Amino acid sequence: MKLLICKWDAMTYPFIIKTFSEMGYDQVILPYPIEQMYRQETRTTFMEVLAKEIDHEDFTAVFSVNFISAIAEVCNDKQILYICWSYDCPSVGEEPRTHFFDTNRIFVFDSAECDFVKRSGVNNIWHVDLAVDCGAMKSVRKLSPKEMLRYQSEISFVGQLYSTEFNNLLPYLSEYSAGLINAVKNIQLLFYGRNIIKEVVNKEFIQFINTPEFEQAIQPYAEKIHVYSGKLQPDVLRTFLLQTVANKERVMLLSMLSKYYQTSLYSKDTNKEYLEKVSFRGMVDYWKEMPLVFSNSKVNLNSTLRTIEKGIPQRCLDVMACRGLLMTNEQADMNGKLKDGENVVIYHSVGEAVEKAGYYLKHEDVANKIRMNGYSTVKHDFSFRAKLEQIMKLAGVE
Amino acid sequence: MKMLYFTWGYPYDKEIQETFYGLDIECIDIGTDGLDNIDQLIEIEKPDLCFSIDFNADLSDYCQMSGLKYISWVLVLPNLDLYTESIKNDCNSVFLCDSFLTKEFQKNGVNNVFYLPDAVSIGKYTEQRNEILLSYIGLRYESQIDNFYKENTRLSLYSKGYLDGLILCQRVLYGASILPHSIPINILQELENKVILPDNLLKEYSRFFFTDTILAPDVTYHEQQILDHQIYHELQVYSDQPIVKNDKRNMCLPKTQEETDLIYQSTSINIVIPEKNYYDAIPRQTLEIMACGGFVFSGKQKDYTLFFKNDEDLVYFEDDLERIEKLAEYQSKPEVRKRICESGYEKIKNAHTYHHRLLYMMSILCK
Repeated sequence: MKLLICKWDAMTYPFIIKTFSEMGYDQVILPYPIEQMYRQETRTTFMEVLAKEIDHEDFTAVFSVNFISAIAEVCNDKQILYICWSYDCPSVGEEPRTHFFDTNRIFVFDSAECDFVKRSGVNNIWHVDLAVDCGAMKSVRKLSPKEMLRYQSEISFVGQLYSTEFNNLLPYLSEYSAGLINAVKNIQLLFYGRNIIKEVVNKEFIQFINTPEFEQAIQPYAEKIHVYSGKLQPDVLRTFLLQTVANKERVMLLSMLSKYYQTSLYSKDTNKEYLEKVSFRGMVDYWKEMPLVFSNSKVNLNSTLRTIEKGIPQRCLDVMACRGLLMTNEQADMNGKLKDGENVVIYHSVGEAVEKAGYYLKHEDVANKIRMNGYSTVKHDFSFRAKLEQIMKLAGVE
Repeated sequence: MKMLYFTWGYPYDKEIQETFYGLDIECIDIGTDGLDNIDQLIEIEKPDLCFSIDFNADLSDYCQMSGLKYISWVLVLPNLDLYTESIKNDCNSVFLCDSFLTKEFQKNGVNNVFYLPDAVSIGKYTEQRNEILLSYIGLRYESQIDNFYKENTRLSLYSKGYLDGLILCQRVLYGASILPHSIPINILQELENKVILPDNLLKEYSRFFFTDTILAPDVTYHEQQILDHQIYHELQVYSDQPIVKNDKRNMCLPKTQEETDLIYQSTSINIVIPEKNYYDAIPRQTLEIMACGGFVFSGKQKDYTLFFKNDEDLVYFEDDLERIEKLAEYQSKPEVRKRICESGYEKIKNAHTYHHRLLYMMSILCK
């Protein structure tokens, strides 16, 4: 069986290609920049290239990371299976008419997104978790004294704080709009597993925000914040609000944890407001340094961006693959696979996170057991082999 | 046992009194006029306790002074007397139809507050006639908040925006009561400073007062606006005033319980909009429909999950998408609806009548 792999620069491709090989698939790789698959000016050319490639050989299916509507169109036209496994969330968005093709086999890692798309009548979509390659996470080695200073912590967080450009615009919101937005943000902070911002921020809502003063204020930032019509659109506002929720949550967590424990942040962010006690250690290379952080920190924090409503984020799997102790908010898709106190530590509030962090810092033997269980879980249940076998079976190829 | 039964016009007093009689409890009626002479009445009748539907602060105070036990079953919300000093009287045993409110009082150290949902009388099971596809029976809600802002123009624009934001969020959150604890302290203080509050309101319940009188009714108002949505294009609306824009679908409120029951039985899918003053409570209307063998379609209320199974005894949804999906699904499945109606009816018959409730109440009181 032969697969045509549409390859862009997603980091999971090397593992997917390696695993397909191990599974016995022949592959032809078609590398192509992702922007050119989407942009109107270059899309048609890409589709022609893809069509030509498909005609060239007898393929069982075309594969890509993320759903790409241009690929779906070509595959539908050629009546060849199109299998895609989404790495981002949400991922099945643009060109809704292309979601319905019979040739599609769409796999998403957030069951909420899967349900949402299914409800619109799309049949060929399934929920499959993300995967991790434990072997690629070279985390266990002796650290030099300098490296210890850089990678060792009681509590670590690797990730953005999501301070967005939108924050610069907050002073220009009308008093009423500011109240409205803060209410929605604060309620969203209380709820995991539910994207309230998506439900509430609609065309009617945005009318309160787009006052003449605000429209004038956003002009200098228009391109940075994706405002092309002079007015803020609901989808753009939703993204900003979710990012500000992530920001607030992460700052609250880090601020409270750093009051009691040595806490490090690995990020491009430099704003120390509320985070005076946090050690800012800059960015880390995903492959060379991040595993060292995870394996040399006693507790590794995850706080899921709300755009991922139920799915298990890649970060969680990465931590566990590095034999790190993961402390995370609960995501519904963890149910049955990741269990609090067994292979992961789950918090439901900032207070609980502080309490549990303290407990596991004191009880290293218990923490080590969870670490090892977490590693074992991802090695067996979240390997690329396990997931791709699942995908190909559901797709009807195996 | 002898009981002073305080009547104020609750429509189901007769059923409740009959049930008490069945439990060998004699009810002596006392109305609001009788409160001034309650001491005399107690002297003459020597009752064991005093009872009312809903908590009456004056009655509680009278009972406290007289040394008489006072039992109240709170079924009609909002019941603003709950937020007064009288709630702390030792004589009280307060049974609340709402588990959210019950926990709130218990958290604040108010003892002798118990959860006891509403109940209904039950007749013979009648199969659905499916003459009407969709029905909604309910009083029309007006938006209170604009009037509130007009009367209280010194309320800051920021606070108005914040409160409107809370209403929007609560509207989409079925099965989770986020009001009143979401009102921030600074906005609460602003409300307390700018609104004339009842004299005897306990400060710790002021957020409940504002939720009950301003915010919750607005959530219900917004929920009623959804009845104009395309998915409800065959809905018959029975109300005191027109709710939907298509006037052909607006009908008058039924005049009697029999007329109401007839509508429930004639309708394939009965829409229930739980009023948001009933935070987690099971709406009475839900129990009535089930007791008639009718099909309930409702936004989720948390207390449903204590007694009923979704899609087996009744049908509830947790978000707007699920509402659309389920409404379409159940319209086309008469046999499934029939099974749900039968199961719902049996559940009411076996555990949700006045007899069941009052037995439970007495068991608590006798402990």
